[in-house]
Amino acid sequence: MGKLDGKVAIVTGGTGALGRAFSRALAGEGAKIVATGRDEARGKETVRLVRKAGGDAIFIQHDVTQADDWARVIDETIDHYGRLDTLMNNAGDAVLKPIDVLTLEDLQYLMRLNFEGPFLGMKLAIPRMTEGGAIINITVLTAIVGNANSTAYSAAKGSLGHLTRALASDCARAGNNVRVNAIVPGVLFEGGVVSPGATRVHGGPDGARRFQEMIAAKTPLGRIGEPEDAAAAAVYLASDEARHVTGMEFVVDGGRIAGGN
Amino acid sequence: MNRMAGRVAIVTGADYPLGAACIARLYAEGAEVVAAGSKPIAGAAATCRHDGASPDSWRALIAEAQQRGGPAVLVNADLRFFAKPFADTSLQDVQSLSASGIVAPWLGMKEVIPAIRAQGGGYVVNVISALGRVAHPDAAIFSALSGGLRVATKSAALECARQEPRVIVNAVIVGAVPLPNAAGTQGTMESLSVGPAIDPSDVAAAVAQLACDESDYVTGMEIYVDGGYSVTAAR
Repeated sequence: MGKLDGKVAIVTGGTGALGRAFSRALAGEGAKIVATGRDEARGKETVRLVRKAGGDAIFIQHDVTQADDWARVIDETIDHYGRLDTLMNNAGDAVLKPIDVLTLEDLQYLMRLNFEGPFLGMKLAIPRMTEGGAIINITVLTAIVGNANSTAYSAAKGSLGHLTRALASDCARAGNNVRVNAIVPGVLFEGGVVSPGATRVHGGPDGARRFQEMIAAKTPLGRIGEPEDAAAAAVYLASDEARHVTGMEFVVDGGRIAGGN
Repeated sequence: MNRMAGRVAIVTGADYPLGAACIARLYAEGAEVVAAGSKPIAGAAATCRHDGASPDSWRALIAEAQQRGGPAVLVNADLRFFAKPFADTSLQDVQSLSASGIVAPWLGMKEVIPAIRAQGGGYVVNVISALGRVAHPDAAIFSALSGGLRVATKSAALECARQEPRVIVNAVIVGAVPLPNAAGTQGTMESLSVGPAIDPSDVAAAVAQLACDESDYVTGMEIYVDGGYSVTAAR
């Protein structure tokens, strides 16, 4: 008996370390997983890992910035598994640079990937969640507070955070039994290592290393988090145990935000 | 559902639905529960009469938990509801409500956290009203105490994060759950407009989530079990 038996979940960015952790955790509680992303080889590795642990998963190629891709992913999910209960908008990326170095193209790239993608997904998925559902948007601590070199990234993720609250309100009023929440990680890296998707840090590899040391030093619990730390929150928010939880930000940050970051 | 096997937990408010639901859930998660209440309750290994404003009373609870190898967890779930127009609220009302609304959970943290640390670390979960985030007519004092406890919880989390063994401190923020009324209240939880009715078992599920090792990187955080009330203004 899993907490998510019978449920079907789309996990975007199912190709990365965080999406993989979400996929494995949700599958571990009985959910059937549709891992999506652009990199087929990495997506299939996620599917392999889920199946190896006894779970059920498929991969669908998906560029979250494309409305047509979203329509196809949702159709194929329902064709294959018969329903849709959970959408995890996990695909995203960061560009961390001072504003004088950032370009408008950087901002537009981040807005499309981190904000427009989830918007399209929620818009198309909610009508298909015929028995209610749970949407989980992955934002970031810097969506709530200011951090150095994060202007464009903060704007994109902050927009997603507020979209989450607004849509939760809409869904509550509509009475469609769809809950919309966010998981707000601090910095989570698999094995404490900067992920390939987060390397556009000012200063290159050395900048990334200094970034990690700086984050660990200002995290009250004294370490960089692991993807699994956020995955437990995802299982809770996706489950019926959280049926009264909506519009909320589940912060997984080792205590940073409690002290104002 | 066995995330607290072998853990000893102190849970307050056992005489009321919220505390009772927390006890039932922690028991179902495998915990051994020392309950603060006036009568034996399902799921509790022991029940102690308790005065939350008395340090000695907290020490008696701790001693009971220590006999069982704990405590590893503290759940402050003894909320009392109070509503009265601001101008009609007396100083005596405020002092009386403070005893249950902030002195008791504060004393609980002060006394129990060192005991949790002494047996290897663990978890504290404070259950707090969403009126600590959203203002409501007739709820000034209740909101003030609830809001104060929210920040006190975060402060305790930051202090505990600096010390080994680690004690993780979080809150569950609740909407319209049934609560016992404090003396002098002119309204009930049901008479205020604080979102959809919330079943205590849903609060208990969130408490369990924050009282187990799945949440060992989560501290100073709040789970809102309020049907979206405090962030969406859904009434």
